[in-house]
Amino acid sequence: MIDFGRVQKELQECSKDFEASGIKVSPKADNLARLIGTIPGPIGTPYEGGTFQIDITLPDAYPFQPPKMQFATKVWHPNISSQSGAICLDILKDQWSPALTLKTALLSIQALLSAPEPDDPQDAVVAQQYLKDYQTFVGTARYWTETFAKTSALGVEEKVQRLVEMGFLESLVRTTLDAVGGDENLALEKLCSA
Amino acid sequence: MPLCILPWQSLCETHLRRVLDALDVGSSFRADLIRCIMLTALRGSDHGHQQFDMNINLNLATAEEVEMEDISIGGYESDPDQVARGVSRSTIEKLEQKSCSVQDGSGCCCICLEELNGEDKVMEIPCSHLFHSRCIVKWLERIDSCPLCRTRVEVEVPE
Repeated sequence: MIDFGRVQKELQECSKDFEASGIKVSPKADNLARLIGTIPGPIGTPYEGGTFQIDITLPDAYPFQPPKMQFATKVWHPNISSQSGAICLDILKDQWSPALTLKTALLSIQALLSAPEPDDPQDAVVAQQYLKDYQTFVGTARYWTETFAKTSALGVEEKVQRLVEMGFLESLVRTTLDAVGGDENLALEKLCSA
Repeated sequence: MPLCILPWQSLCETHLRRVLDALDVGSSFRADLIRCIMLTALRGSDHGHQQFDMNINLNLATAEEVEMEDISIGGYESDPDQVARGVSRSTIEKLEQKSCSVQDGSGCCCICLEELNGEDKVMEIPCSHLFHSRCIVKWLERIDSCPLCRTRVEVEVPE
């Protein structure tokens, strides 16, 4: 059974220091076992300026088992699958400890963006490129950031405006857009079914 | 696999199980795989095919991929490796005998994130870190190290 009391506490803590960390965790639906985490791309890396979303699924035994985390935003990084978003990070596997939290796990993922480990790759193609042609790697990673990690953030105001014009409350529009990770169509679907 | 055996589900399953056993596919994953294969086969038979060969590329490069696979097909329980790494029952019992209550304000249990207060049974493990008894026991049954400093909780606990 998931310790939902702890999950609630974590969410509160995380929103309290969003200003400082830039890291956000919000429930996807109302059951708290599926959440979405958001991390800003670290400054001075090809991911700078991007906002990366991570799908989080809590196993039944959380916090005794690690949360399952997977990039929902496409990212070009040796330790993240460019296809599935799967992350190769020890604390999400055998090095997990219940003293870690969703926030610290997301911080570790952010640190992984800053410090790739190509010798322990998740995506062999990216890792090869990182090792053999670093400049091209940086270019590709930056291009992917521009293409996949910026669109949702950039267009938010326009999306909010369009949905408000359809007659939905602005506050509701914002929370809904947030909950679905900025996907306008999904948000509309949710708003209509609410 | 000959499609004519499709209507006999158990026959198909036996056939597939034999094939997959030879490939050393784990039993939990095998059941899901058999289901997938049979569904695909049924779809194929709708199109009037008599026989089909399926190339299944199992990319089991990392544990992560396998876990993600498991999410999508619904299964995932305890990790057998983790169970094997737990602390022995006798060590847990010895630690439990020493567990006691603490004064309010002794800090927070990093497992449930609740305060350690006078009413709770608190356990101190050999590295001196404190947790609620009920919380740390659940962890030590899985893993034999401290959640905070990763010091191994030794099997010999001083009497």
